[in-house]
Amino acid sequence: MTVHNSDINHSLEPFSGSCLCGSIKFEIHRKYLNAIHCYCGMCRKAHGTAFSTHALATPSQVQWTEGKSLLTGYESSPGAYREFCPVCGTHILVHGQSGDDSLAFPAGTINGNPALTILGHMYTDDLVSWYVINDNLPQHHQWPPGFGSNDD
Amino acid sequence: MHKGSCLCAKVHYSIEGELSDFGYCHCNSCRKASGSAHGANSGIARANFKLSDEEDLVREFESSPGKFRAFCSRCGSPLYAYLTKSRDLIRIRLGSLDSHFNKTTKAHTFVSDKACWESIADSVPQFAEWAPREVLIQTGSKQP
Ligand SMILES: [Zn+2]
Ligand SMILES: [Zn+2]
Ligand SMILES: [Zn+2]
Ligand SMILES: [Zn+2]
Repeated sequence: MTVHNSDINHSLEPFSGSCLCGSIKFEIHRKYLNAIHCYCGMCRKAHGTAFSTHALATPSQVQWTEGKSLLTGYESSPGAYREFCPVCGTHILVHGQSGDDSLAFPAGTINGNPALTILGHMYTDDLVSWYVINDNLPQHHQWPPGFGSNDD
Repeated sequence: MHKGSCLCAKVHYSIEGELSDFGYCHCNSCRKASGSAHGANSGIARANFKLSDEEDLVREFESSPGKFRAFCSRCGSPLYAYLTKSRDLIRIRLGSLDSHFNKTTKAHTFVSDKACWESIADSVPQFAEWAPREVLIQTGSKQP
């Protein structure tokens, strides 16, 4: 799945984000961000909500502007790490989850009102009874093949 | 009766009785704290909440004066929050529940802070800030 939404966010301003306490800050230098909602049980626990929203980037697009050394990883499945801030607990990065080097940023950590494009929903078999998906975006049982591999 | 745990399963809790009604809160702190589009939290009396944390992993972060957010320091899972002025009530992060919860949301709150990438397409009432108490009582929160 290669999606080029070249009409989104042409500004040179990077996307910026942080944890709740601001100890960890990052920038994503790319023209646009694609994201997907994940309903898996691990995301639910890590984020404390019905789903998480992963925005994808590659390592060369990402700059940790503060607190990179604070990142605390938890290996939630073999080879997949969820990094959080040890001060405030915010989950700020997922990597190793898709079998490539793509980095997933929980979209709630991105500052302001970033023009993300939501591509759909995944792990929808695990959806809780207290949340309802109410859009018509594609639903996937698992990580959609190729999602996150697009480079820009 | 409910049961819940963190992602690494080192911290467990059980709840006697039913959790309060809940809303989806789209405020900036709920989005930052959860990393998600909104927070989903339900209140319960602390007396009805039993925490099992044998390895002393739960940490609290004071996100604003008198507001504490508790999470597992091993896996980062948010578990509950409380205000010092209403210490006998806590607000459970619904994502930490392991048991079935059959309430549905009563309101979208703080939609004035909602991220543009989240679309709300359901018919649940939306409020720019707090929901009025006749729509939703957010037990243990700062709701006026
Ligand atoms: Zn932090
Ligand atoms: Zn997930
Ligand atoms: Zn844990
Ligand atoms: Zn909130």
